[in-house]
Amino acid sequence: MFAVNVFVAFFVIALAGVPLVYALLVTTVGMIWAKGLSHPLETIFLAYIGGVEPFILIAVPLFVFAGELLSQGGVGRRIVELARVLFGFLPGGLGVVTVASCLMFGGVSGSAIADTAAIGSLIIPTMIERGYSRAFAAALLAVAGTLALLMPLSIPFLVYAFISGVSMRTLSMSGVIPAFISAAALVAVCVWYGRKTGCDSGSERASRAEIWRAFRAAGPALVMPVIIVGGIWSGYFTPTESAAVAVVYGLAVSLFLYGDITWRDVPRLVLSAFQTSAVVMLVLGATAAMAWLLTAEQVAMQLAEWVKVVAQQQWMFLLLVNLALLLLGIFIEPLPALLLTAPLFLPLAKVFNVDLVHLGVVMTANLAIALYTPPVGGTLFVAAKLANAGIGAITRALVPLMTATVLVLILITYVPALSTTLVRLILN
Amino acid sequence: MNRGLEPEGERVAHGGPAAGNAGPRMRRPLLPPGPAAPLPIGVLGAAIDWAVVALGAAMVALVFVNVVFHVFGRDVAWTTELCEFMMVWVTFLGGAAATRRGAHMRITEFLDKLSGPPRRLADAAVQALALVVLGLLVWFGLGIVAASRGNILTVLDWPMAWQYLSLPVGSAATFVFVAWDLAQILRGVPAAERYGR
Repeated sequence: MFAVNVFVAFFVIALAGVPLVYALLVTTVGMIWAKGLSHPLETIFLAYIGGVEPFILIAVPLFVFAGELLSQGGVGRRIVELARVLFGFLPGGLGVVTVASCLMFGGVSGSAIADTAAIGSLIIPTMIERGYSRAFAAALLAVAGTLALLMPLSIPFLVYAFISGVSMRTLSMSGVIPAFISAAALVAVCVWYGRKTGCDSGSERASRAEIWRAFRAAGPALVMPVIIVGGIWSGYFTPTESAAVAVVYGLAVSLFLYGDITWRDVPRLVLSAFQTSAVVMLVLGATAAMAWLLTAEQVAMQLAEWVKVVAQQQWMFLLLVNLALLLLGIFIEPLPALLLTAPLFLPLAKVFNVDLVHLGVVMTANLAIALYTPPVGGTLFVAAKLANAGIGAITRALVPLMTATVLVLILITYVPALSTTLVRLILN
Repeated sequence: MNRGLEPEGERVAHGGPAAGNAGPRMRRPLLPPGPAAPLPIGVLGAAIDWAVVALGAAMVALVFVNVVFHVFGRDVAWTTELCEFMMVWVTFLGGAAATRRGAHMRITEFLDKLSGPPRRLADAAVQALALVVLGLLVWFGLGIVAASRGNILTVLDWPMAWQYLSLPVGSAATFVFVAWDLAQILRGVPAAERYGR
C-alpha cells in the first residue's frame, strides 16, 4: 500500500497550502526516509532537473508568450467584432458571439484563463446591458473560455504529448472536432436561453461590407494559428519551432501592424511568460522526481493490478478516468492534475486497449470542466470577477451549460472516432 | 486553487497605478517592481528578473533563427543543446522570481479559512517546510555539480556541471526570498504587502 501512503501524504501536505512543487518533493524525500528506502537523494533531484530539460518543453513558455502578446492588444476586440457581424442576428445572439469569439481566440492562445479574461472583459458588460443576468454571463464565459484547451495550441496537449510520447502533431488535430462539438452544444444552450428569457432576440443582420471590414481587421491575428497549425500538421515545424514562429509573428503584428504594445512592454511580457512557465515546469520536474520513486517501487504495476480488478472493461476504465479527474479537478489545477495522473493512466490505457491520443483528449476535456466546477476554478473566478456575480448564483446558471458539457464529455469518451477521424483524414 | 496556467494572483503586475499617473514625461519601469525588501534582496530580485528576460529572449531568438536555417535546408546542431541548457537555468531562476511575487501554484482554499494568528502560524509553517526542501536542493544540488565535473555536453563541449549549477543557484536565491518572507510573516506583515500586490 505504498501508493496509498504516497498519495495521502501528498494530498494532506498540498491541501495544507504548501506550494505543489515543495509538496511533491517533500513527499518523495519523506517517503524514502520514512520507509528506510535505499534510493540516494541525488537520483531524485537529478530526476527533478531532468524533468524540466527536454527540448519539446521549450514550447510551453513560447506558447504562453505568444498568447500573452495577442491577449494584451486589441486582438480580442477584433475577434469579438468579427463574431458579432457573423452571428449577432441569432436569438441569444450575444451568447453565440461569445462562444464563437472564445473558440477563435482559443485558436490563437492555448490558455483557458487568458481566453475567458480577454473575451469576458469585452463582452460581459454588453451582455449585462442587453439584459442577460450577471450570473449567466459569468457562467457562459467560464465555460466557453475552456474551449481553448481543445484547440491545437493547447498547453495541456503539449504537456500530455511530452508525458505520453504521442506526437503533438496528432494530438493537436484530435481536439478540433471535440472543440467544435462543445461549442455547438454551448451555442444550443445560448439560443435556448435567449428564447426562454427573451432578453436577446438578436440584432440586425450585418451587411457584406461590415463583415468584410471585420474580417480584414481580425485577419492578421487569425493567420497566426493557420501558420502554426499548418506548420505542425504538415510536419514542417516541430511544436517548439512553430511556437517560436508564433512569437515572432505575434510581436510583428502587435508592434507594427496593430500598435497595441510598444518595445517597452516586451521585457515585462517576456518575464511574465517565462515566470508563469517556470512555475509549471518546476511542478513538472517535481512530478518527474516523484514518478521516479513510484516507478522504482513498481507502484504503477500494483495500481494496474488493482484497477484491472475494479474495472474489468474498457468502458469502466474510462468511467473511472473521468470520475477520478473530475474529483481531482475540484481542487487541483489542470496541469498538475494532468502531470500527476497521466503517468498512472498511460500504462492502464495500454492494458485496456485505449488509444493514447483519445485518452489525451478525454483527459483534457475533463480538466477543462474542472476549471469551472464550483466552488473553485480558474475560469470560474475570472468570470465571476469580471461580471461581479456571486459563485452561488453562477452555480445555478451553470446547470444547463454543464449539462451540455458533461454530455459532450460522455460523447467524447465513448466515441473515440470524434478524436481520431480528423487525424486519419489528414495523415492519409 | 484551480487556475490553469496562471496561479494565485501572480501574473506579473502591469505597471501599477503610480506608473500610470506619473505624467507623460515619467516613463514606467521596464519591469514591474518587486515587493519592498532590503537593498541586497531587491538587487538580487532585479538581477534574477533581468536574467530571466535575457535568457527568455535569447531562447526565442535561437529557436527562431534555427527555423530560418531549417527553411534553407540547414540545421544548427548546437541550438537544441544550448536551448536545453538555457531552459534549465530560466526555469530555476524563473522559479525564484515567482517566489518573490508569491506566484507558485498552491491550494489556498483551506488556508484561507484561517485568519489572525492561526493563519500567520500556518503561513510560517508552510514557508519553514519550503526552507527545508530548498536547503536539501542546495546541498544535494552542489553534490550533483561536484559529481558531474568530468561530464561534458555532447555538442557544446561545455561541462555538464554548468547546467546542473542552475539547481543550487536557483534554489539558493529562492531560499533567500522565502527566508525574508518568513521573517516578514513572523513580524505580521500582510500577504498583499509581502508580495507587492
